[in-house]
Amino acid sequence: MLIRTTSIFYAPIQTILWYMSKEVLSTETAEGDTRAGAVTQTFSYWSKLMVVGEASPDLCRYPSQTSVLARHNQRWNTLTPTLFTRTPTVELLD
Amino acid sequence: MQVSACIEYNSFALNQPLGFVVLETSKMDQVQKDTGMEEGSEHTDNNMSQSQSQSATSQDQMQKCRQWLMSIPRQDVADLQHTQEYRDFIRAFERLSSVHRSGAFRNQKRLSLMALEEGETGAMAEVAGHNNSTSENEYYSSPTIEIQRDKHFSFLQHMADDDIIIRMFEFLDSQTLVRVSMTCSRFHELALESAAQRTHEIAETRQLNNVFHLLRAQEQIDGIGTGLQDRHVRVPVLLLGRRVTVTGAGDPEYNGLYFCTGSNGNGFIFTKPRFPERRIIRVQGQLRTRENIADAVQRDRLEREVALPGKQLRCIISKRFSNEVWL
Repeated sequence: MLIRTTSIFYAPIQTILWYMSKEVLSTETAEGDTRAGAVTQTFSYWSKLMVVGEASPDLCRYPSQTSVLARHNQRWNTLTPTLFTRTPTVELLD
Repeated sequence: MQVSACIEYNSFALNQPLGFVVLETSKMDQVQKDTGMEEGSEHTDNNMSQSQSQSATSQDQMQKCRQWLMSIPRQDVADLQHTQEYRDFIRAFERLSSVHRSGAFRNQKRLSLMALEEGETGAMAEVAGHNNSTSENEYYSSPTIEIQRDKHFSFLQHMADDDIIIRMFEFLDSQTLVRVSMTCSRFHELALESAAQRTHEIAETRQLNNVFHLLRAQEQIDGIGTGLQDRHVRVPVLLLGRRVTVTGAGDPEYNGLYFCTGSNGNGFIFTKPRFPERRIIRVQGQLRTRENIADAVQRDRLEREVALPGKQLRCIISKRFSNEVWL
């Protein structure tokens, strides 16, 4: 008897996003191995990446521009520390 | 002349009062009197001895300034740049540069006149007599005294140590430094030296300063000598040039201009210093041994997740893998 098996492998979804963060100094020993006085990052905003097709390859190396994201009803979004605050507008100069 | 530069330094995050300096240009006035740049100055033996003692006092003053300037860690200069004292210092320094330029101009003019009238000492006296009311012509009145005065012509030429000037230059931003470098050949050389000193770290970590290394990099691009046994170098690459502006963020610390300052495995990194500026506390008394320097160079070579001790805290825009979980 021939048993046909079908294996479906799902590649894990790996999402790379643009993040805005700021460096902060730890004032007290936190959980894990964070030392007092150590520098950590606090993440505040994120956006999806621009891809070739949405913008030129050169522009896609830069953080996602609000004007480009807006064409696809996207924008920069907030994270927990800034959840109910205004989202940033990101544009390129020069 | 009322040019004065005053810096009172409180070391902000470090909380270390490092010192206080006043560049009293009343001393410069005295020096100018010595050099004949002041109107109505008399030339007597008495004045010459006075000028010598004043020169010694000015030298002491410059030595004090030097000691104070040398006591400030180079990395802390960035902290000063937004203070009123720093702006006063820059203004005073620019005026000092102007005074120096005018002094150099007069010297040049005097030398050209002397060249024209070489051997005609009577003519020199006639010119001085004709325009007795002007300070400049009084300046040309006595060649023998001038020779003596040449020894004290400018405190920047004869009294200031190059190290002091270079140390002062470390407080100037690049635009001001360029302007200063155009005033005279000496300042030009010192400004170049200052710029080389201040960029040593970035040059070591981000450039191939040896032209043969650059040639080897070019060969690697062209596919020449790419065997396993062949020597290789890192091919230098420039980061992105356009600025990114962030506006309207609910957390205003994020608003501002970002520059591409590095890269990591996910792509380019854009940063700006946090405002109000805060610095990462250095371990006091930490010695920069050869191993420490090597570690720091290695860390700088790869863009770190966070800044090194002693550097400013930053806002960062970078790509990150989130594994479907918002950070």
